Amino acid sequence: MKPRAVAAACCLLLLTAGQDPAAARYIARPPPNLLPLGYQPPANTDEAGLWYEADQVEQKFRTSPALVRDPALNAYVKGVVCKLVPDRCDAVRIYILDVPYFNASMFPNGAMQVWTGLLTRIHSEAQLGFVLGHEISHYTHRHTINQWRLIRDTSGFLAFFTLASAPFTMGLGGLAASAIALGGIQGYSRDEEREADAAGLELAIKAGYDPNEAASIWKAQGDEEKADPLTDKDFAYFRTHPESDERMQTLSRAAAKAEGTEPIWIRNEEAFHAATAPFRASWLDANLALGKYEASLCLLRRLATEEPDSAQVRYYIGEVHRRRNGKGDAENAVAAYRQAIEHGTGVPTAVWRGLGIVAMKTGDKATARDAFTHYLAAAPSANDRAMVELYLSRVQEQNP
Amino acid sequence: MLSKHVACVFGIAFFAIALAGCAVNQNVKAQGAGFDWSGTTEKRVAVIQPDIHLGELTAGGLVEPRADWTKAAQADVAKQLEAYFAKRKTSVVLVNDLSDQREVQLAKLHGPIGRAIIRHAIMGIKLPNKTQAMDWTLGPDAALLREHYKTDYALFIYVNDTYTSAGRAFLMVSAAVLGVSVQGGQQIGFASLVDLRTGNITWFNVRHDGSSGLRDSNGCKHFVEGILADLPK
Repeated sequence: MKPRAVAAACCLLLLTAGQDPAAARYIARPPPNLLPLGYQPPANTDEAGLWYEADQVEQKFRTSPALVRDPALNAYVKGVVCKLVPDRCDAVRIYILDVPYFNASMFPNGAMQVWTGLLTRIHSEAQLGFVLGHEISHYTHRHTINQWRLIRDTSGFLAFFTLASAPFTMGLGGLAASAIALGGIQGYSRDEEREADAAGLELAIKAGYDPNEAASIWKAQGDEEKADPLTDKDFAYFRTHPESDERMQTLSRAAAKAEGTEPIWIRNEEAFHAATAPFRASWLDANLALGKYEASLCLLRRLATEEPDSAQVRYYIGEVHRRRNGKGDAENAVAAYRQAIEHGTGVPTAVWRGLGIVAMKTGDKATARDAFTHYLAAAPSANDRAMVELYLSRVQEQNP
Repeated sequence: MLSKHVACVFGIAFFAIALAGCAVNQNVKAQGAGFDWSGTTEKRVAVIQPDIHLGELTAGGLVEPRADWTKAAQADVAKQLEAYFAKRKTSVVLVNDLSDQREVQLAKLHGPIGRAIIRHAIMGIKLPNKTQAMDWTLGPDAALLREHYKTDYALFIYVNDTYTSAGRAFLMVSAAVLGVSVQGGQQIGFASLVDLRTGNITWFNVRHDGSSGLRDSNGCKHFVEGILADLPK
């Protein structure tokens, strides 16, 4: 045989030898193998390894300065978990972390992190129930271990493929195969998300939560993504999650099917609002601090229609305009602050400071004087008192 | 969650590959003051439970964590540490159940600081505004450990130990036939001696070993004696 033929034969042999039969098994979707109650993976398995690493992350959550330790809020969220999966009430452990982005995620050992940015963006217990149900389904359907096995086996195959194809394709074969495989892995990941959407909705419906609430989460999220000019318009092929629009439509269809099967669906908007109200101001402060003003406005406008009586929401709308400081923002800020004040009850004191600053900038000294004076009277021990006094002296100096 | 997890595993893998450039099985020392026993009546060190990760290096180069190996190694390394300090007539407080929130944070902080020392003080990726002085620190909160365990020093150890899987071994052999070198499992560990009065790291050592592992007692003994070989008395 010629040397080239020998090399080709060797490579072919390598290719077939490198093909772990496990890879094929996991690329085809396995039927859901629900985690048995009280399950602990056998110590010498890949699953035990992932659980162990997850235990380490969980320890980090438990001791994290970002952990929201408020007993009432934790009890409320935990209560929703117990309504969804009464038999796994203790197996699922919730960690609420003070992070202003929209996310919750599940670890294979039963630990779940819920970010406050998510709680800022939903408005009912039914929505919370759906999100928690989605995450719990990742856990009960053992998505982490399935995905790990896919990635492990695919990368193993790729290593052999890259090696075997290198002499003929100068490495480009391996690169192309890697791109295809990455797309496959992300596609699998999207499928798992779809499965968790469906299973989560099922849990929420079983608990009596209004299925229509699920789709509205993704509608709102899609709107916010579109409003934000900085949203990644990444290539769908490499996305780990299906697009918000797609999830919204699928869930709407699923909800329509369930429609009418329950006499009275639970939404529990009041209970959700009562549980989260004490934290809302700090969560919205954190949201505005991200500097994504278009996305913040989109969220706040939605909150304003949901809560037409909220002075707090109007105050934050004013704040976004004041901080963005673009064309027309001054007028919009003043209008929003005035609306907040007109609501009479629950008006944040800071509304006067905001109004004073915008009025000072636009040269409306009378309004600024009035607003700053009001602020100092309402919040005599504010930590920015000296600053506001300086502002006040400026708007007074030239107007004796 | 998975993407984060995978990112973490990849991070460790890259770290291993980055270090593979260093000589195998060689201690790299960063100079520090070490112990200063003056003014103390008893030589005592708090040994914080070593942060140990054992796993299998898969054919594709990922590290599959192994809980059983890790737990066994934790117990074994602790035993070896006790024996090591007994020989040196230094009494140790083995801290195996960190539960205080701030103490856990200190133990976790050691990981990123150790990696920063390796990157910037040992591998030579210079930070523009940092002198080469060995002035890395866990910060004054380390005093918490001093109050709790009544010691002036604490020893922190991190080790990541990977074993070549059968698939990886086959890939390595096949690649060798084609004249390509593929990295197998290896051990990377680092240890810091921290002065709990200041939080400063007074001695640091990193160890890279391609031949021995923590799955057996001998390997654990080898690791402890190797990584602490130059610990000042």
